[in-house]
Amino acid sequence: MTRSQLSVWPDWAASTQPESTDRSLSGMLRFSPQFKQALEHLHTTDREAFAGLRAAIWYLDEHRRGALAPDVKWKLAQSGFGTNSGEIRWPNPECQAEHSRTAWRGLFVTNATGEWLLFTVLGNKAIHQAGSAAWYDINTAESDRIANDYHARFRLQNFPKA
Amino acid sequence: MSQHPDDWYGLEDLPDPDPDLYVAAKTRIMASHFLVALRENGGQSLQDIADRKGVTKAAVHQLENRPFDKIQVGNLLSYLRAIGYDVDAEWAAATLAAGLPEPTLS
Repeated sequence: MTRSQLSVWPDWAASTQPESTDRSLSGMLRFSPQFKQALEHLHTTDREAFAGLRAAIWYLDEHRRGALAPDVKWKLAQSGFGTNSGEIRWPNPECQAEHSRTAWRGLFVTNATGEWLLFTVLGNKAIHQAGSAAWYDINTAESDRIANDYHARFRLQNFPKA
Repeated sequence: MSQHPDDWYGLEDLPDPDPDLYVAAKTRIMASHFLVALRENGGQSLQDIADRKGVTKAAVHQLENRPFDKIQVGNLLSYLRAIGYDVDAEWAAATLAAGLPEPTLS
């Protein structure tokens, strides 16, 4: 990032509306029915979390593997898709102490070249009775299954092997 | 448009977030991104900064991921110096003075 690029970064904040789908990359973001329903639930019950997750989606779309903030984490250890899997997170893990009952995780799968992003499972791991590790065990397996099902239906380009 | 229950959705199918909350969230994310990008742009690792500051890697990671408005000015200056920027309190004050918007309180 050059100094001129650094000076540009505040300009994006002038936009107060979510981006349209004009960008070619944005057209390749796909959300599972469960993911969409979970977001819609948040839209009515926790507007801050909803806005935070929408911002994380925007950030992931903009930066993909160049995402450095903790709101995006690449590579889910439990996923068969390895480095082609990841999650968006809200709240920021550094703020977790202020949100004892809220730790939203939105799982995604992509391919090496990033032509598409599948958002598969969205859930609140903080309220999972069996704990965080169990939440990942269950939901990462489900995320992998959902991604494989989508590929079986729509034959995604360069689908990674799980 | 009706959707089959098994259909997937695009961004256009999602509700819009509250504009103020959305901008605040994006600001926070980009502030974290900015600090990490500064460090990585200089080819430096967490360990490099930790060694220079005499702290743990975890402490540097924590600062980079802390919400920007919760970082103390002194800690930010120390971090910037550890990356290699020649900055100090006088620079911070001068930069603030030059960049402040018009006050809103009369």
